[in-house]
This record gives sequence, structure tokens and C-alpha cells, in this order.
Amino acid sequence: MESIIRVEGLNKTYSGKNAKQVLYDITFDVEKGEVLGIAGESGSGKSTLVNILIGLAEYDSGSIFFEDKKLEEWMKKPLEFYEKIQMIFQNPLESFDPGKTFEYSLTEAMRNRGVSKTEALQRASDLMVACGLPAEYLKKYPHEVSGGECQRAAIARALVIKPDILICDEATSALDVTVQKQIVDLLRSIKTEQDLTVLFICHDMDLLEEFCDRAILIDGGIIKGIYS
Amino acid sequence: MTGRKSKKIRLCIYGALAVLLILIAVFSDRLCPYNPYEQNLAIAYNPPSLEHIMGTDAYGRDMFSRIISGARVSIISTLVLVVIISVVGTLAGTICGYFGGLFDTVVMRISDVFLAFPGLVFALAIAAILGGGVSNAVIALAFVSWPKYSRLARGRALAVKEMTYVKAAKLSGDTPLQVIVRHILPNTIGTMLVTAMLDIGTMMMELAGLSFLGLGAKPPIAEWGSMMSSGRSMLQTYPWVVLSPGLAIFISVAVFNLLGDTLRDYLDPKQN
Repeated sequence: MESIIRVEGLNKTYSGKNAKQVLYDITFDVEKGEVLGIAGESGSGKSTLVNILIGLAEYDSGSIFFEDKKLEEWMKKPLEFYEKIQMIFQNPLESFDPGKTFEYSLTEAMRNRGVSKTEALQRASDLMVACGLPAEYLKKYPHEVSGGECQRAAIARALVIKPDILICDEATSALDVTVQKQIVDLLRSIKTEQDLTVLFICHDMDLLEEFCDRAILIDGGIIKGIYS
Repeated sequence: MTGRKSKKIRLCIYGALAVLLILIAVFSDRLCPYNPYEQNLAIAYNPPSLEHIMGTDAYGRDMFSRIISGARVSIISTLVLVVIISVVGTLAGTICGYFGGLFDTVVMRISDVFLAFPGLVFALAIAAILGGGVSNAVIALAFVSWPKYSRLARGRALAVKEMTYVKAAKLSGDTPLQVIVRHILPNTIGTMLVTAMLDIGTMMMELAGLSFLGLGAKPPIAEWGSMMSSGRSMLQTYPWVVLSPGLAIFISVAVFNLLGDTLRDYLDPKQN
């Protein structure tokens, strides 16, 4: 199958007084349309890895390719890059500006790309409904809804510019078990509908086995194994 | 009555009083019962009476009219000063906090230099170099007072830029300027607004202090600090000449401080 992401020999060290290498020679690829799980204990380097992949953190050495184009090339045109890749964060409430309504947050990416207000609003409403929320929730503030609802809104926001790759950084771990299942079901149906490639970072091995095609196990910044 | 409701009522009361003071300052020309600059030596140092409710000064000028007229210089200058230092300090601090690097180092070291001296002493030196006058006093105080805001704004920007929603904004394609304008500044403005409100009283005192020392408004301009200064030798014989502008400063400082305190309580989520 065709690789959509290729990571080769990635190393990362946090500088400062307590300098520490957190990623050692990370090499893996992600195939188009697959769900790749990334598992590991807290502090194993999972979040650092995804932050690097999405351009929010720098790395020391190695290479990252998206569709055979280096990350650095993509980052010269961030608007274009973030149409390709989006992310859902661990804590849904913290991932929304507390002073902005969902309407503002969901339409922000489209406004940045010159989409008209009416069109942006229509797409945001459609996605809210597709993610199981009433369109009227667009007028709400993040603190006015539950954690599960907020995560649904976060998924809607991530999908608003139709990315090819979705990174879920422990997107279910801040939610209770029932809501976790609903969110995973939602992600599964969206993945199928939109033919998304998903990087699913998670602690829960059962969930990884259920949802992912393959999984990488990271321990102490080293890939310990890739499991199908 | 809930705590938040009582805070809202207090905020409305102090806000209304502050607006009243500003309106008096703006429309002082129309509110003065007498010409504040018209001299009449025949009635010099007249004590408070029904005709002149705050008495008259050494030149027979109506003190009440001079207090009203002085509100324009004292309050408006203070507001202009606070707006300048809060806007400049907030912008500089936010840019430093967000971008870091050389600009941050240079601006913060400059602010360290200003913070190393007592503000009023430094302002005195600058005002003395620039020469007297209200605008020079405002410039001198602005020069030494912005670092407090820049430090505060920098700290807020450093905290806010690490928030997940700022990362989400970057993924939405926000440029650094858009991130600052849409997410950093709106989440910083509350703190800065409260600080500015609390600073109005302090700045009014400092501006009056410079005028009192002869480095602010020059006679015959009606300004509360300079009015106190010119009447200070008469404190024991004609106390109203000093106490009237003192009372005006006290009331204005109290109103703006109470407004700032209430606004801080109202905006503090931990207290709601």
C-alpha cells in the first residue's frame, strides 16, 4: 500500500538543565487509509512524536515525509499543510478558547481560507449534526457542554477542512467509559465515510486492538515493536 | 443576594461614579458656576459660603469652579496616561512573551532598568529634563510606568501560548499575528484591564505629585496637584485652599480604586 507518512531515524532531545533524549531513532510509516495505533506509557514520547509530526514541536535529526514531501517543505505553507492533517486533543475543554463560541472555533479554519461566512456556517452546522450534536450548539461556549459533547465538537472542528490524516492524541482518555465508546464509534464511522488515515494514540490496549489496523509500541522513546 | 449579583451591583455603582467623574471632567467648562481664572482680590481667601461653597483662593478665584475645571486636567491626563502605558506595555509584553528571542531579551532588560529605580524619582528626573507642563509630566510617567504592564502581559502570553486552544488555532491555520489578536490578547485583556483600573488612582496621585513639586501643570492652570502646592503655606490659616483639591483627589482615587477592586473580584472566576 501507498505510504502517506514516513518517519525515518527521528531523534529528539529536550534541552535545558535537565536535558533528556525522549525519542531514539524512530522509524515507521503510515499507510493511506489505515488506522495506526501508537501505544506507550505516560512519558514514553507519544505526545512528543505527534507534536513533531504536526509541526508543533521541533526535532533534532531524522526525516519526516508526508506524501514524499518533507515536513519542512510543508511547513513553509502551513495553510496547505493543515488542510492535509488535523488533530484531536486529549482534553476537549482545553482545546477550545474559553471566550469563543463553537461557531467561532469551527469556522476559524474556513475563514482563514477565505470561505464565505454563510458557507462556513453551513459546513460547521452540517458537521456538528454529523458528529451527533444539534446545530444550535454552535452558539454555545465550551464550558456550557459536557466533556463528550465538547469532544464531538472538537472532532467536527478537525474535519471542517476535510483533512486526509487525523491524529487523535488520547482523544478518549479524558472521557468516561460510555462516552469513550460513543466517540470511538463516531471516529470509526467518520474514518470509513471520509477514507481518513488515522493515528490513534492511546493507553488502552483493548481499544487499540479493537480500533486499529496496526499499532506501534513506544517505551522510553524507542519503538519496541509494530503489531498488526 | 448572590455574591456575583452583589458584585455586579457594586460594579454598576462604582462604574457610574467613575463615568460621572469623567463627564464632569469633559463638560467642566459648562459646569463651573464662575470663571475659574477670573481674579477678584476683594474676595481673596473667603471661607466656604453659600456663594462660594469651597471658598476662594489667594486671587479671589472660586475654588469650586477651579476644582471642576481642574478635573479636566487631572482626570483626562490620568486616563490618557493609563491608556498609553497599558496599551504600550500590553503590546510589548505580549509580543515578547509570544515570540521570545532577541526582542524579548532587549525589551525585558530595558524594563528591568526602569523597574530598578523608584518610579516617581525616575519620573521626576525625566520631567525635570523635559521641562514642566502637563504633557511632559504625562510623558515622564508613561516612560517609567509601562514596564509593569509589559511584565504582566509577557507572563500571561507565556502561559496562554502553551494552552491547547492556541495549538488548535495554529492547526486552523492562524498566523502568529492572528493567534495574538484572536486568542492571546482576549485572554490577557481582563488582567490588564483590572490592573489599569487600579492604576488610575496611583497615576492620578503621581501626576498630582509632579504638579505639586512644580513639574506638572503650571499656574494659573487649574490642576489639583498644583492647586495643593500653591496653597500649602496657607494650610493652617485658610485650610480650604488645600483641602478642596485634596478632597477632589481623594474622591477620584477612591472611586477608581474601588472600581478596579470590584472589577477584579467580578472577573475572578475563583471568587464566583
